[in-house]
Amino acid sequence: MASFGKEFTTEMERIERFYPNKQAMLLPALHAAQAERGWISDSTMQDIADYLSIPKTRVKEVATFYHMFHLKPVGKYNLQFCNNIACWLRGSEELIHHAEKKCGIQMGETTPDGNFTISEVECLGSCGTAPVCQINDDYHENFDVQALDKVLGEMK
Amino acid sequence: MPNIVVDGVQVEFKPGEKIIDVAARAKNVIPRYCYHEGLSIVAQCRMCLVEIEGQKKLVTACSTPCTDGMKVNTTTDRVKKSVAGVQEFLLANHPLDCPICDQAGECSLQENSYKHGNEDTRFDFFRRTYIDVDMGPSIKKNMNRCIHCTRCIRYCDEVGQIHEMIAEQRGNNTAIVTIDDKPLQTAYAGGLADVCPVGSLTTKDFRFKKRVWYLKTAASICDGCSQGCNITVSHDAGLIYRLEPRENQEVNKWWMCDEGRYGFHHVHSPSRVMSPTDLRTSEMKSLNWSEASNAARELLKSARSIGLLVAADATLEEVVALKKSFPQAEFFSFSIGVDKSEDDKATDHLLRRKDKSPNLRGLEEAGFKPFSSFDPKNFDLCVFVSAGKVRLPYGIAKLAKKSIGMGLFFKEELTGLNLVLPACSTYEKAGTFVNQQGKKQCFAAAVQPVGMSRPLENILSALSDGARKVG
Amino acid sequence: MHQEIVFSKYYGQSGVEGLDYYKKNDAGYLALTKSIDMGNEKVLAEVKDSGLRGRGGAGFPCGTKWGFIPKNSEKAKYLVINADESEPGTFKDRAIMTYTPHMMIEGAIIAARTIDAHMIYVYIRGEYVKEAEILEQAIAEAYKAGYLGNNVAGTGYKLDMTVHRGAGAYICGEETALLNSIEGKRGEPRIKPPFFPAAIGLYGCPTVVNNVETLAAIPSIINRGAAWFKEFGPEKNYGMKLFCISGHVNRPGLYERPMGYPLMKLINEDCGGIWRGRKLKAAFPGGSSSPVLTAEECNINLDFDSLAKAGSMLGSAGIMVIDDATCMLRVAIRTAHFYQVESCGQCTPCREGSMWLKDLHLRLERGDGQLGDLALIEDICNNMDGTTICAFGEATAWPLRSMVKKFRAEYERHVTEKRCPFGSRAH
Repeated sequence: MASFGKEFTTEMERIERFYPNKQAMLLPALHAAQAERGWISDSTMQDIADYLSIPKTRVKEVATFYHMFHLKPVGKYNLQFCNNIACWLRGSEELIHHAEKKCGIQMGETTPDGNFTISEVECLGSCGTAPVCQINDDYHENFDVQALDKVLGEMK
Repeated sequence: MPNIVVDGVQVEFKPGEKIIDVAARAKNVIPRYCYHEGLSIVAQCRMCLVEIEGQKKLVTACSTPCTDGMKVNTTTDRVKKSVAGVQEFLLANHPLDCPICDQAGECSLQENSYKHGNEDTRFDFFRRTYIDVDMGPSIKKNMNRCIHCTRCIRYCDEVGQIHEMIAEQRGNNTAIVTIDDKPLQTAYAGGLADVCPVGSLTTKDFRFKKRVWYLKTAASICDGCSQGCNITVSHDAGLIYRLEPRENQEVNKWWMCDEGRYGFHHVHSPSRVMSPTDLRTSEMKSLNWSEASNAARELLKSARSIGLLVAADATLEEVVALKKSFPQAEFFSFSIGVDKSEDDKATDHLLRRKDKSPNLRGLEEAGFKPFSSFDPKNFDLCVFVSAGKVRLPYGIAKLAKKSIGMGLFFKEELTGLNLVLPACSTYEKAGTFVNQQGKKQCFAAAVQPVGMSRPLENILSALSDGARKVG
Repeated sequence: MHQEIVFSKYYGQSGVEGLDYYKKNDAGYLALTKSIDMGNEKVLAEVKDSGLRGRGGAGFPCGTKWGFIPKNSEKAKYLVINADESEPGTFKDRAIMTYTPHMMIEGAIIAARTIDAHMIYVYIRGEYVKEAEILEQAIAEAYKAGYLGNNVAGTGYKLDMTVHRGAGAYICGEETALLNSIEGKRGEPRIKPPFFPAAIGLYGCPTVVNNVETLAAIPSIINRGAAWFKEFGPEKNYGMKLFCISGHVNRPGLYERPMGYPLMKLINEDCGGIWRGRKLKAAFPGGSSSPVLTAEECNINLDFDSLAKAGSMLGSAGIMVIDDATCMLRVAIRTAHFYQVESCGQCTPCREGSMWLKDLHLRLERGDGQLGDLALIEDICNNMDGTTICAFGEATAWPLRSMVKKFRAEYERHVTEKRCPFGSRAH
């Protein structure tokens, strides 16, 4: 069992008073664990279960339900393209194809060097500034091929 | 009493009762998958949608409590369409492998297809498939057949009380799995096959043994412990195929443990002694019943004192017969786990008991002394009685001067016995047990005695002449 | 039509999200003080009188909802803010949280006091990382200024507030799924009844769940009165409203207009018309769950009742405009895909139907479909409509059914021509 870092425990201690039981702290714990470790491995689920004193089953059924929790490692830059109606109307598909070509990978894959992951996500609430791509935590709104090239260039 | 009207039939209800249960009392079985009387209500299969007059939306009969004067319709076109629709959705991803599925013949999906489904399928895409992982010795899983009713998850949580089955992922990808693909830990795993409405969870023990429509059933009592769970014995052509719990709210509700469920194989054990056997010489000799009776009478004649050690899987009727046949003898009871029923206690949260015999209280009420006060050396002759489930201490007959075994014995445990008279196992006889609550429970015979075995009462009456002269 | 900018007056200004800015320019926290003077019953009466209807999608009267909370319950009571804005086409709550978080917080404090709640959870969708940070910051400011904490505005009232992040599940916008999610469970909607969590909600306690925009409307109602609020919009659909417009208009974005504002006016005048000189073909008036309107049907006023009467809904006011160069089948595929990915999987019709619908639409687009598939799509939608625990079944069925019905000829061309007549591109 690996223990969590200071940021994780500080966050858990900060929010503890807001919740009547430990199970309710599960989503915050999963977020904090993913922020620390990049993804939610099987052993991370066990660590969270131990930390919150709840069965691992409870962690697993929840972690697999929510799509933001990565159950396998993702690239250093996770290009999350919205391809929902509003973004699609504004050309998100073209962007995705361009990104796939540029990175040499398909949707859902990670480059062999572990730098980029391309994934499709559902509506990000940026429809008025569509299309949008969320790279890690940051929104890139009114995105287009030139902006994508620029961002990819900066990240390499 | 308040009442509701279901399809024109008035039915009374108790406050809090749900439509599905009240309708069932009027012989109106509303189709269901996720609903089970013994489990919490989730209302997610959507099969039991019914129409309530004055309400715009259809409601689930399983989760909707009755209110006085409520008019429920289960046969309107809207309801029929919705039920057929749910049925079609469920079949969309269900493999049509009924010919090799053990559930066929007792499958809710099949039954409801026949009663409520469409004639043909409109789904012509690839079906969703899963790779299954072993779930331990009791249950065979086939996730492809799963209809996501989650009865199994709730069964593990609420009955087994171990949260070991979960829904993983979501939506169309949802898989019902055991945590980390570990084998099931619950001692009640077999019940998963009972609650699973389709062939997704079946018992390995029964798998591929018999098509269920050939099975006949008998109402019986489990002889595995003092709880006396009510069961149904399924059998065909003299062979027992499986035991299943039979609902009794006062004893076992809808459940039974795996130990009981699979505790019938001794009946058909190849090492069971199936004919009267003379062991007085070094050579084992099979006898016919008249030779056997003579041999028994000879042994009994020379005995001035007789002690009977009776395993507590004897029925009350057998106890009466034994007492009548051996009026001067001393009687001792034998159980596994406890010496006296006062030491009996629950060994888990649900059903299992420390006393591993079904009728210790019955024997005690008949005046039998505990095993701890039994010394075979005190008697010229000892009679050992067992129905094969409560097996007597190995080699105890060696301590007796002379001995007769009556009941179900196995070839490997005959040491010390002079004569074996084969009698019935629990499932080959009718009778009465007194369970730990003091409840007298009668049961019927399921199958004919195996080989030359015969009921204990018959054996005793054939001996009665000789027995009366004793002592 | 009378209008006055309430929410978006200062959007985009520097420092707009701060407490100082809010107090200086927007009468910040004066409503809280006023509400304390008024007392709970008067506050509740004022909100009821304003006719404010929930801005999350269902349009249920806010005051009535607050009134459901049992008065004599000994249990803890909770206020939950639904900031899980995930309805495709909707981005108004994001703007409120980005620019005027204190407006929402003030509204929430007033609401919490009115229903006697001592804990407020803001359930914000996980993807809104920056917005969550801004909110955290604003909450910290409110604590520091004494609007939250053990002595709210000097009244001795104890009130805590925290941000609870979702993690990528549209279904958690459904209020009972949202409550399960806060409790650390799978975001699966709970069975109804109870139809409202007023008696049995979060942790089994009385709970009110309000949308961000609903609560953000509270301070202005308290400050200026129900009568003022009712000056905007048609009867029973009062107030100013944030409309989100996206898709094929020249100026997509957020527009604050009174309820009942004409959709065509919004498209043509405010948003500068359809882009690239093309024509309007269709529009979703209230997010992807609303039945789509044809160009002719777009001559309609944007309020709950007008749209319901026209067989659609205002929903979350996420208006997605589609031009005439777009393949409607492809729009339907995007819609079907979304609902297939987001179905929680509890109920049979939704779990199986959403996948089946997506498969059928994809097959039509490939040119492998048959004319019978169109009727099948409609019938699957019928079988999902009204048969599930939550409204997700309808949310899937309504838009898809509306598209196959209203654009049938276009669907049929995919079958007869065995390919997409638009080349399946958006532009």
